[in-house]
Amino acid sequence: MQTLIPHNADESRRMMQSLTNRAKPVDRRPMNFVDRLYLPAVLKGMSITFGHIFKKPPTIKYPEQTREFSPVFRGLHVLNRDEEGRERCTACGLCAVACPAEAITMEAAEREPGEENLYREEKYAARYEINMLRCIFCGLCEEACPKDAIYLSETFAPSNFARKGFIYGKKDLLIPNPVTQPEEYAKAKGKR
Amino acid sequence: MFCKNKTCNTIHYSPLTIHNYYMSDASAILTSLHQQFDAVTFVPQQTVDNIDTLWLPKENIVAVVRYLKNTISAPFNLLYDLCGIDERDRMGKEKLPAKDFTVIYSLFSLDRNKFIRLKVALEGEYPSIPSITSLFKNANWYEREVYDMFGIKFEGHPHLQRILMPLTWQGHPLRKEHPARATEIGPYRLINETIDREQDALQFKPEEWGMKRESDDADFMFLNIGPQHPGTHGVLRIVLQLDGEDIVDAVPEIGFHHRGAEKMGERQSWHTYIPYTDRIDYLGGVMNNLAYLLAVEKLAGIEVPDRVKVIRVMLCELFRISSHLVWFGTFAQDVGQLSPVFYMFTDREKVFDIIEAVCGGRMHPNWFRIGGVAQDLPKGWDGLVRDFVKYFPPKIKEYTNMVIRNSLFKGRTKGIGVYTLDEAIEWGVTGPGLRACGLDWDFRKKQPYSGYEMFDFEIPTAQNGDCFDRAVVRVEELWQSLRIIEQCLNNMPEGNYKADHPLTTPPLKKYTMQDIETLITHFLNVSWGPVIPAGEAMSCIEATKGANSYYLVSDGNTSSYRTRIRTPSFPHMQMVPYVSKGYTVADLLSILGSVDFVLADIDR
Ligand code: SF4
Ligand code: SF4
Repeated sequence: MQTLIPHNADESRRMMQSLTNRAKPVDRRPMNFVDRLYLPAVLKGMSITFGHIFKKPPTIKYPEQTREFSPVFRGLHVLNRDEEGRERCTACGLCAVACPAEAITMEAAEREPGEENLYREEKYAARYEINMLRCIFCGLCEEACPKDAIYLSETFAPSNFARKGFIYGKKDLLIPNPVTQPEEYAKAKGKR
Repeated sequence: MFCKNKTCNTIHYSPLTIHNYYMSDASAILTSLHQQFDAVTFVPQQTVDNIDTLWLPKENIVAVVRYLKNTISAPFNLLYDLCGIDERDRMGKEKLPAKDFTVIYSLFSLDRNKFIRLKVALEGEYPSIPSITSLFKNANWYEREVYDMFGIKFEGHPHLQRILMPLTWQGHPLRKEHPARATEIGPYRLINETIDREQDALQFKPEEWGMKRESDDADFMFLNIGPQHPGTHGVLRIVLQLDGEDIVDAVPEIGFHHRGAEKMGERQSWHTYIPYTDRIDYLGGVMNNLAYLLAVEKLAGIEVPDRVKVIRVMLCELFRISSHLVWFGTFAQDVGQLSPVFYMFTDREKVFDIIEAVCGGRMHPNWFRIGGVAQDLPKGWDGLVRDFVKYFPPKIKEYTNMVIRNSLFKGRTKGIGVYTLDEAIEWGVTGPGLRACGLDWDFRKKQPYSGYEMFDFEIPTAQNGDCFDRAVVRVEELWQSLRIIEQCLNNMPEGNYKADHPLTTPPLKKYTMQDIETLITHFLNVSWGPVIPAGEAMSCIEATKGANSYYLVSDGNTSSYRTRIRTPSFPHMQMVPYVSKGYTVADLLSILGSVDFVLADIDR
């Protein structure tokens, strides 16, 4: 190591350059006379811009058209049900504590006898709210959930007039019941 | 080096490692320091990142830094970072020479390819320490930041004023007693008096900065550029002192984008801090995750599988391309070409299609995890990447012809904003800005991390250090990134996407659903967060804009004791007044564009 150490600035500069021979000098051709006229450059630029008039536009006409999202896209949350239409959430609160933005609040309740067809576990979330203005759509809640009860879907939060409208309760979040509303369920489930 | 006992997270150094450590460069430095400053007590500290760390008394800091910078051969000529720590609540600090506060100097030697970390313990509520601004130009802003955040005074600093917080702010945010949330301070009211006070504080007073209002033959004009100006690429205010059209001096005012990311690190768990890192250099996406996690993984002693490394490299390089495309388009726009930005943003969408398919997010992917990545690559990822690798080369050629070869562009950038290699090092410039001065310095090559040593790529350099050269270096980097991506595509290793380690967070989900042991780990890691062993570690990556580091201090808790983020944009912005003196206002926009900064990266 010691022998590699250079002893003055010049030597060190030379050495630094030769530490690897993998550096790649870039193209620096000087400007010629035509370049310095600038006019050809302006015309060439214009021709490129005009050329784009005849190309297919890369934009889409939102909101009439919407683009496809990937299946893992992190949009609005969905509270999941199992195949029998029971809510999966057991109100363990893991999603709420894992949430870096502290966007989730919930109240747990005990399942009463006779509610077995509604809730999968003995405990369930009586109230479950996500404040979409706080949420940063990071997906840590989905990752934290041990029950596969919450996931982020392929839609994103629509605009709204009041802040209140961004606090999503259970009725906004729960996926339609696959037993009683199979069509809506299939639609909400999408490609997932 | 890892303890075989899975529940034990301590790193056990073999005698050989310790031997090598002390016989190496470190001991050489220490010996020569002892010879030079015989009466001084240097206390070495072993850190997980194996950076030579020395404690020394504050009376000697200036002399020692001067010695390391000016006297020794192969000097430590780059002030890489300067930061503070409030040590008052730190658990286990008795084992260290730490007192109430510590100021930490990270110097880097390009010749040795080595860091050295100097620590000075300070005692008292609002201690002070001699300034090193006479030795390093870029110490100025760093010392102002430490003053702003901790209230530590730097004696001899030319203008010790707050830098990130408003001048009217009460308290120093990174002190442990300062509240971390708005709700602890009480509701904010914007009454008329407050407005007047804030407005008054924002008034620029040239005299405070030692500026004259007129010269012998001219009255200077003071012009505000920003905080809302398309050429500043974000909320940045630059006050220009103008003699006609010529810039006499400039004062950048930063901090409008300050969100207290370092403070948040002390509140969030190690795991839930990851989304915050996305938002530091918001064009760099997962690259921020990587810089943070490399430091966490060093502390935790996690060695990630090869598949993780290659996935991470691929995603990072995709983000480098996307970030460079934003720079390319906006730079062209800054110097007067209005169309390229649209074409380049269209291509950036193509990159984001891949990012979205893999990560689920776009600009804020939040996708790397402690010990791995969030999910495995989706089915069909290779098709997407292959399409892009095929699609992109003609585009780079087209853009090079359209922008770089354009003589107007050359006229606006050649010979503008020139700095030499020595100046670049003096101001702490890293990344393309340094490489444009002729030095092939790239941390991916010089200190490979995350498996970069496995890849074949070159480091583009240019010689003149002007706006044009910084531009061509970045364009050339697009090619190199594409090369790396292609190699990832063709050689993606099989294996797991998370390390098999107790601190991997969250653990592989397929086990969580079945076995109770993993479920419990999962519960603890995602709720309280993993407990990272006590220690200190710094990562250093070649981010899109230069060297990005996270220096993390753990006192064995579920969140970090101190999170220090060293970003490249901060020193680069500090240099802008220096390089823009003597140029015109129009040139300033070329210079700003060629520096390629992100305000969130400056302010954190
Ligand atoms: S996506 Fe992230 S921020 Fe939003 S509720 Fe889930 S954990 Fe919280
Ligand atoms: S959604 Fe999942 S993590 Fe959240 S409370 Fe319900 S079961 Fe627990």
